[in-house]
Amino acid sequence: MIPEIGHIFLIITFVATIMQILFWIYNIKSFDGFTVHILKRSALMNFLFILSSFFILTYSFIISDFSLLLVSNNSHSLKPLIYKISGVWGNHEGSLLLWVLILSTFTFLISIKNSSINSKLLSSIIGVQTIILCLFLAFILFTSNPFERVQVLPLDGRGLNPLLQDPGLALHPPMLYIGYVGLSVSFSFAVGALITGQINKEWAQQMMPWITIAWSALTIGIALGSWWAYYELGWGGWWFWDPVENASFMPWLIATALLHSVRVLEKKLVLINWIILLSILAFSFSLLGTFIVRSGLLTSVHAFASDPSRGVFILIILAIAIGGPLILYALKSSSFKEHKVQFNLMSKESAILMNNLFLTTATATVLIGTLYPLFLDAFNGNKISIGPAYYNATFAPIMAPVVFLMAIAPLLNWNQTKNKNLSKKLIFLIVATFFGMICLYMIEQSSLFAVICGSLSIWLFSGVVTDIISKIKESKIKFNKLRQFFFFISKINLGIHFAHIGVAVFLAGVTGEQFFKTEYSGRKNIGDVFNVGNQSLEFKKIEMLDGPNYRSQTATFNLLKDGKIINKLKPEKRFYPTEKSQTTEAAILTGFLGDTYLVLGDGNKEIGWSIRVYFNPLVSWIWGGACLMALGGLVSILQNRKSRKIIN
Amino acid sequence: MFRNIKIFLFCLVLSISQNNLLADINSPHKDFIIKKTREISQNIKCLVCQNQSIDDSNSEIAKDLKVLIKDKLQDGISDEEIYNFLRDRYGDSILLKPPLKTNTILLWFLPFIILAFGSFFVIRFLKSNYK
Repeated sequence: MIPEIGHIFLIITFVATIMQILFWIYNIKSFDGFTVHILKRSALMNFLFILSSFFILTYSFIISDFSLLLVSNNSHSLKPLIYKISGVWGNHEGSLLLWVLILSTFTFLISIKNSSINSKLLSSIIGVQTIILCLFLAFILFTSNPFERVQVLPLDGRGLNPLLQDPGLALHPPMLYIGYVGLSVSFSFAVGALITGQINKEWAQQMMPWITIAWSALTIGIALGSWWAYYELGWGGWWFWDPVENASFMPWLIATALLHSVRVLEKKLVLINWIILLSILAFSFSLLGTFIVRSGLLTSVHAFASDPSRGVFILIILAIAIGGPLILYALKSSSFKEHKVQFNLMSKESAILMNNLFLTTATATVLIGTLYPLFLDAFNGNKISIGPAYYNATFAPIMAPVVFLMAIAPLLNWNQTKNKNLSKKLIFLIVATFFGMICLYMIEQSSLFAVICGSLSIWLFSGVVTDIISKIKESKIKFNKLRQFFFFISKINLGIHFAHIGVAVFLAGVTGEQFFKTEYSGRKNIGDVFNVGNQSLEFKKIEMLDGPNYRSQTATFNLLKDGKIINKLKPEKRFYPTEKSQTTEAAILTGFLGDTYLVLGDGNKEIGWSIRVYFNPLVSWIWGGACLMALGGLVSILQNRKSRKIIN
Repeated sequence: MFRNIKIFLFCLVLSISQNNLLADINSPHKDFIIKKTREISQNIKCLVCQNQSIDDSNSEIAKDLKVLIKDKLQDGISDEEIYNFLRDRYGDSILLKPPLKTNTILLWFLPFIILAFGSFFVIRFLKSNYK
């Protein structure tokens, strides 16, 4: 009975959204405060109904109600509670419900937060959000109903794919979806501007925090996915240029471009058309990502269900949600009046312009790499595969200038004002990087690419440091009191520094992992001692252990240094009887300077076990860097809010 | 759906059982051949896996191919010829780095064409706004 209530809630919301859309379109010309009031209320209602429906589904998962098809296919009574809950979005139907829940949450938040938005724009924003909501509710109700019942009640569930039973992955989809769906807000802002025909600096300021939230969440979501691949898949890599990874990476790149160019619009009315186009594109890429992952067009762990009817339906949604705004854009974009302002070639504006040029080209490159094999196959049946080599040759050289500019751009001034000490700062930067380069070159076996990649990291790091030092000097603050320190912190744009340092840390991690990784593989038996790099490992024992819903073959290795045990590594092979599948759990010893990564392979007492050991220098910096970037986003939101409060 | 996951897991399980394929080389250039084999393996797709090179994978076919590459290297056959041999046998899709042919010209050059176009617009914009 309870699941039916959840289903009915969804149907009610679907019908209500249709009525709200009609109401909005009917009032689009003759507009008054009453319309906004109604739309705000309906945003709240949609949110509450979908939230209840989501809770009901979660409840069914927690109590293991196997009369629901979704629960019996994706859960099991013996599963730990956290994976029962994460099982809600560990499948196609549930993850879509999460998608619409986040969408309605965002819509509701805009309706209550931004009372300062002019009401005509606000009603357009809510209207556009409601259209997206309606499309996705239709998708859920007609093709992927999460509340479908089974014909025959099973004894127990089929369980969740063991690879997905993991804390990192429990959080990965919600974060990613907050990112994807958060971009719908800037999309609605853009479409709203096209409908109302009005755009101003406030528009950019009000949109900014929403893009930043989405961008930060997307960063974390992607990083979690990559981290999971690293420790769970057991071959030590962290990014595979898999189409599904690309699907989340493209919106991130566009959102990054948008995040920067909106800052120009906050200052003066230029690049209006470009920013509107970017906002539309960013969400379009999110939808495309959803389409790629959900339609089964590309197969991977993410393609829970490949059902062609769903693919067609998503294609229709895609056509409406992207095509509509683009047509509107073509019709109305010429009506915006841009200010004719002049700025110096060495200014923040032109740096951001270059940033946008390279980031959008990089996005296009990833898009080409992802879809080209599909199109070629459809076009003349030729099959090709695109691996990391392609992206190293195309994506990397296009992104290198972005990092190069990233160090200089914060040193430049807005507008045409000349920066007095620019050449001094640049000389410092170049000298610092040069020394770093030499150090890198001295390391054994460092290739040209290793030096380039590492130098970029050093370059960026020195850039941020230079910027902060020069700001301290310019502000002429004496740090004799803690209060003055905080005053200074509140003055500078801390978020940018965090995010840019994050990129530098990330690049350092990439350099370490890509170019200085060492690897050992061989067959070893109990009692063997062997050297890996400058450490030695002792194969101590192997035993069978029982987990909550799996059986595990656990080996114990002692990490020795000068004959003393300094650590223990316990790689596992797990067998999940319910799902009838096996996973390998690598033993990872995470350190600041690098990870020791040990994987247990097949074997027995007679011939020994095959094992692989990697030492991955600086690998954890990759995700640390991503966290710093996301943190930068959050800091800048908080700082902006504070400064706005002061102004008011 | 389950088929895909099964294939995936199959590769996963196999990929762990790495053994010393390359241990039995009797050549003065042993280190060079091991290095070269791995280098080539990284550019060869494991056809039964998903988006994995044979270097990462340890499925039967990946093992066979690695031995084959090693043998060919020992016989003094060049990289180019090994790639060509594999291509003739399994088609272009075995190469993770697609070769530059008429059907991949766009793949390789489109990013840079887009960059050129973009630069043109940016320069035009900067010129009209340049002081």
